[in-house]
Amino acid sequence: MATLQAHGIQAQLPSNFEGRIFIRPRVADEITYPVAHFATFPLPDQVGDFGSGAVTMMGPSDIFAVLFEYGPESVGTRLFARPGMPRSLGSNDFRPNLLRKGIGGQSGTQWFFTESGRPFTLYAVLGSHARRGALVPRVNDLLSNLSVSPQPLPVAHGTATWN
Amino acid sequence: MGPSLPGERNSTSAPTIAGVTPTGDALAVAVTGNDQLTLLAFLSSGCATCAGFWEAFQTPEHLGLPEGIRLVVVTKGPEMEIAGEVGAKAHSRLQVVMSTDAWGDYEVPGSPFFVLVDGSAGRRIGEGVANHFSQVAELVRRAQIDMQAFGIGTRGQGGEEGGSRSRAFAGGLDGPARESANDEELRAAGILPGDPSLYPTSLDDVFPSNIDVLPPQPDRTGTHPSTQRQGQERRAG
Repeated sequence: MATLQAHGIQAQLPSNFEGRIFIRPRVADEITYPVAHFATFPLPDQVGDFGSGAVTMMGPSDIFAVLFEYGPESVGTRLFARPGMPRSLGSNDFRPNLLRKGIGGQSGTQWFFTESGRPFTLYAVLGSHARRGALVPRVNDLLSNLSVSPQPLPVAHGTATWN
Repeated sequence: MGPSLPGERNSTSAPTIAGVTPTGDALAVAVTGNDQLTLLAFLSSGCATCAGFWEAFQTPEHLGLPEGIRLVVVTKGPEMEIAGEVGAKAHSRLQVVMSTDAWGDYEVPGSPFFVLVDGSAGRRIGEGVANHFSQVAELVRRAQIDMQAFGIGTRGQGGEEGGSRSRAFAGGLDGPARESANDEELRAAGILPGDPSLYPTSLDDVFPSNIDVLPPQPDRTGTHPSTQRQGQERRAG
């Protein structure tokens, strides 16, 4: 399994999954937080936080998932009251009307929660709702191998430093 | 034809490339399980020959790669490369993964080095070196023609689910099994034992003269020194 780690999020990727964990560059006074994208298809260069630009490329056997962090002011609010990331979703958790973009045949699920003191939403899309019986276990395989650290981990850069 | 491949160089596996970007984000690129050909360019920020490739990648639309080819640059990780220098050389739309592990996984003898992966077959189908990207693009174009001619490399169209997968190339055979399968195909094509084409006398017999291959620059950091070899392009099966 390939390991992906940045910004306090770590993923052991199941086979044929790829992903990225990033923080968007700030624009003006905007504060940006970590976002993780996972997909069973080649992710294009430019993908919206919740998959715009990617979900349209999904085949019926594909999965796309987002872990999106909110600001610390969200901790303790009702929306993020659920403790911990869901690790085992059921087929009934995915519905076509939960999609942010209503693409025919697909279905999605979204959860808000607090993990390790950090507020997140998980949004996952199945390429084919009809194949959810086969695809949901693969989503769970991904979720069971995701972990979040209490504080974003410093990223080691190979930059030269003065003593 | 140059030195024979070391015994450990019979692998065609194509693991996921996982590492960090020059800006410190994490990035993993799965090169198998899809319908794409992926070209992995193993480059260094400091190697002189690599400079021309970094420059060529500034204008990806002028690279001359066949449509649908995914290009991924792989440098060594931030513990061995200066991320800022890599970032300064990379075009913003170029996917760059910094991963020392990937250099080991793909047995990269030095930089520059190129590996072509067939995502549908789940294996490397070509690798080698060149001094101009046009030469790499030509090799990729030929590989794509091979795939189309043999009916392989397309998921759901004779790929994993059947179809024209009898060739060693497509079947993932290795070692003696691949050799036997290749012998069978040569016989079927009328090339029998003793055929002169099986005994090239010079590199020109193997590589067309317009494909000018160079030996990779020895890896300064000593990764897999036992796998160094000169100017070979390997085509599976």
